[in-house]
Order: sequence, then C-alpha cells, then structure tokens
Amino acid sequence: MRIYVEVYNHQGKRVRRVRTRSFVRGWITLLHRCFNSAVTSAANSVSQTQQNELDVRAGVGIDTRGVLVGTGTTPVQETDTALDAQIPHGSDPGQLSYGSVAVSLATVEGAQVVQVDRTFENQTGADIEIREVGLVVRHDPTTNANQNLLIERTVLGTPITIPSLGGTVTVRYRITP
Amino acid sequence: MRHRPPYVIELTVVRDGKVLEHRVQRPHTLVDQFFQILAVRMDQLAVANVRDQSGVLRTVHPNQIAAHGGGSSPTSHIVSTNLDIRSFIEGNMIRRSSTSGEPFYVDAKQGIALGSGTAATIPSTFDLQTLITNGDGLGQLHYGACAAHMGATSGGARRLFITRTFYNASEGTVTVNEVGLYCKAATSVSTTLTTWHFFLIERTVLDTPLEVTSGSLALVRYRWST
Repeated sequence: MRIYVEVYNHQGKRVRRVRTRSFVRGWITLLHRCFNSAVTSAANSVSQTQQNELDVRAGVGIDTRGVLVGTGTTPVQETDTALDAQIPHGSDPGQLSYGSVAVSLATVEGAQVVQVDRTFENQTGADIEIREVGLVVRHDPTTNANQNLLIERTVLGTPITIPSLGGTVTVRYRITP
Repeated sequence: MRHRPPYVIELTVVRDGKVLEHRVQRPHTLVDQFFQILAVRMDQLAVANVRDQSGVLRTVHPNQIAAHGGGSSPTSHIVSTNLDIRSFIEGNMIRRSSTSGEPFYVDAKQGIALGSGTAATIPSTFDLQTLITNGDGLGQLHYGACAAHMGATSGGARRLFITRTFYNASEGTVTVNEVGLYCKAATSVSTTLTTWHFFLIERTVLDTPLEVTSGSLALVRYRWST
C-alpha cells in the first residue's frame, strides 16, 4: 500500500505529488480496532462502539477532522497526534477557509484507489504557505465518545504557497495498492 | 527516501518445539476489496460492486443495525464490523447457528487462509486460487483461530499482528504457495437483521513455497507497523 499527498491548483493542475513516509500510531490503533471488531454493549443500552472508526468526513469549516494543513516543519514522529502548527479555518490573517472533505473511489491502472480531497481557500490579503499536511479521522474509543485521531502526517519538502485574495489549492490523499 | 511496506508476512514452521524455518515475506498487494471497504469506513456510505470471495458483487454498508437480544425492552445498537478478520472457531469455514438470527455462512473464509495456487495476484483478485482446506487428511491443514492483537512497540514503531496457526496432522507434507486475508463486511442491513459476506482483502504468492511437514505447525502472521 502506498500513500500519496497530491496538491492541485485552482485550475485543477497537479503541482505537487509526495509519497508519504508513513502513517503514525493512530493508524495502527484504528486498524486494530477494525480488524478486531469487538462489539460489546450491555443489554438495553444503545452502543455506537465501532461505528465510526476511520470516518474522515468533515463539512465546510470543520478544521478538527479530515485533511488538515499547517505550517510546521518538525519531522514526523511515529507518536505524532496532531499537526505541528495547524492553520485554522477562517478568513483572518494566517487562516484558510476549509472546504468539505470528499471521499471517492477511483480506478487507476486497473486498481481501486481511495481518494480523500479537500480544498483550502486563502481569503486573506497575504499569501499563506503550507508546510505540513495531516489526515485526521473519527473514532469511538468508548461508547458514544467520538474523538479525532491523527493517522498520517507529511511534512512537505518545499512549501506550497496559496495566493492571497481567493487563491485555492486542493489537497488529495491517494491510498493505492 | 526509504519506503517500508506497511506490513509484512511472517512465516514460521515449528516441530517438536524446534523452529524449522522462519522467514519474512514481502507482501504483494492489497486487492480492490480492501480499498472499497476502506472507503466505506472513511465515507460512511455504502459502496456497490464489491466482489465477495465467491465472485458475487455485493454492496457493503457502513453500519449494521442489529436487534439487541435480552432484557424487557430490547433496543438496537449500531455497529460496524467491516474489516473484521477474527475467526473464533477452529477451521476456515464459518458455520453460524440459525438460532443466532443470522443466516448460515457455509464455507466462508475469514481471517488468514492458505493455498497452493501460484497465479499472480492482480487488483481484482477475489479469492485464493487453490484453498488448502481445513482438516487432518492428506493435503489439508488444521486451521486454528485467527485474531488481531497489538504487539509491543519496537524501535519506536507500534505493531499490529494478525495471527493464525496451521497444523499438519496428515502423513504427508503440505506445500503452501499463497496466503490470503479475508474479512467480514455488512451487505444487507435492516432494523432486525444484518447479513454479512466475506471478502478477500490481501493475497500474496510466496517467493518460495513453504513446506509444512507432517506433525509440523505453521505460524502465519501479518505484521503491520507504522
């Protein structure tokens, strides 16, 4: 399995493609929960255990889950649980407007691949550089206790600049065989 | 930049307490069904045209809504067992009791299974080429239970193991050429009943056949790490 982070400009042209180094610990944790789908619930109770493991969906403006971007440059550690310096959602200086996350399946060279896309718009008056990208998913460590967990983080060798006053980029995670 | 595979397959043959062989096999590929079911989990939407181990196209659903048994006011719980690889019972065949409220799953494979086929794996592969069946006869292996468990952290990396044992109780040697991993996923959901089917998610043809001699135990495990 290979993971790529791809960045597309506002014209849909791919401007960066990075094969990522690795998942972080959260990936193994959730994979274990998926492979080992233990379901326990007391009689007459409503349990949502296991419902949401690996759920990557996030709506417009949700900057706690899905594809996230930041300005940090600290090398990736297996124990990372968050981006080094996340760029928050918004239109104030140093912020980016987060679009919704889209998950899709595509056939590439005869194989199914999973794509997770998110568009970021710079509505501020200054350019913003992206130096790190992360993938955060939801899980239920205990009944009805949704939490977010980082499963992948990539530090870009060369930053991506999003132009001021409406510049956009789309970040795509591509998970392939 | 060095890219390690996210998992490897460890193969160990033991007889009378002695390790006869131990090797690490680089995997070939996760097949289409893995990515389709991963997409179901990530997007929480059903995905159609997922081929089960019989080659039948199924729709995999994100959640299961199952009636909760017992109690004076039973309710429902919402769960997802998509990607579940556990096989509690010995043997590779899943045979559920009709009293559990679930349909029978006859001859379904879940967890790790072995075969003798040598055809290359392609993304659309949905089953082992030639299954080595569960049993004590010639050409068969006795399948143990299959489970996933977290291993100790090694070199800073967290490890996840999927393990199964296979015992050769026959008089002859069994030659293993292929290893597969099967999971369970929900294919029909109602308020009272969930139907599952079983899907191949990984298949690897061994670089060198694994000989499991009479009286030997083969330990096969997928080792995932960050």
